[in-house]
Amino acid sequence: MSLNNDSSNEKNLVLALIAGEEDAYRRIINTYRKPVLRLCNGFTGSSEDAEDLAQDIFIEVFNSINKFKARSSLSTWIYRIAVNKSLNYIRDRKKRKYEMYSPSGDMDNDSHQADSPDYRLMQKDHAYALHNAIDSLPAAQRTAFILNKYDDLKYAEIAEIMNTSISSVESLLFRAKRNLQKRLHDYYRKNLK
Amino acid sequence: MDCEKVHKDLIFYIEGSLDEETMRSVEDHLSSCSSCAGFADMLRTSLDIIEKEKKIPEDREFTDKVIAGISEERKTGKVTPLVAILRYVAAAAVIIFGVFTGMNIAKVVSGTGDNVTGAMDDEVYIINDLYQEPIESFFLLKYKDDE
Repeated sequence: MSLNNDSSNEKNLVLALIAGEEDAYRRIINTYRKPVLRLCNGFTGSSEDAEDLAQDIFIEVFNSINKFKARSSLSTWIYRIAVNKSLNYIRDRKKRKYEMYSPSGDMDNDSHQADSPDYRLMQKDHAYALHNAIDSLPAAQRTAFILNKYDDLKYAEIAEIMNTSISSVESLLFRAKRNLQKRLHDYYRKNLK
Repeated sequence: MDCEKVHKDLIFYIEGSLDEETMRSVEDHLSSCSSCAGFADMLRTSLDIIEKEKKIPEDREFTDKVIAGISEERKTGKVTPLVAILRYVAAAAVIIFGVFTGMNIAKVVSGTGDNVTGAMDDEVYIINDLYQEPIESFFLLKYKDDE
């Protein structure tokens, strides 16, 4: 999703949100549901957890809208709330429950192989490995990686959300990928031989 | 290119973000090393999971659930953003009114209204009739009448 900078529309939308207009809530959810859910999928590794978390994020957005000072675009501000809530959610979730992992999206429907128990088991193994590896990354690397890979955001957009420079984002992503690859390699060596 | 070097760059190879020459070197290595090729396949499969998780199905109930969640929170005592702002504005208005009233009373009581500069003096006279007829002189006059 590209970050929306249409300032006059955004200003009107913010005013409508402050006034508590339901139509404005619906517009925000329609625009940001998918990006926020993708981000939550990246952080939680579970479609059920992602949906609960996304609902909490939107409620937080609507309850905090009077704190929005328009120093950044509305989408940047929403992403910041989403990242903070996700990091807190993960921190609070003491024990990961990947055995209950439920692949999100159309994972089960995109191939004739999806009916095969072996295929489904293999997908679960890989999802488990991937999310264990993502989870083991330091918070900044994890955030940059998820914003880049799950939400397809550009370096400049990630830099704005994370309040850092583009070169820092490049460095974070480089280290995140190297670390992720190493963790996945270790996992395969131990478990999938 | 050795296995260790290939392992370091494999994720970038899968992304296709290496330069042309390095891409070719990794490719050559993978075609002759089954161990690295196996790891490359597994890594590719794991990264494909991201693409699958990115597909978000339509869900009309989601919006209703969020709006119901907000309504529930507001019923249980949380305030709307507009009401929260109005509360701050009302509190600020009360404080400002209190400060100005206090200042005017202080001027009247201390009798230092004359020392206040320029335009403020006129306003003080209009707001405070007592300044033109101080309460002390009222009592004095009354005392004289009683006598």
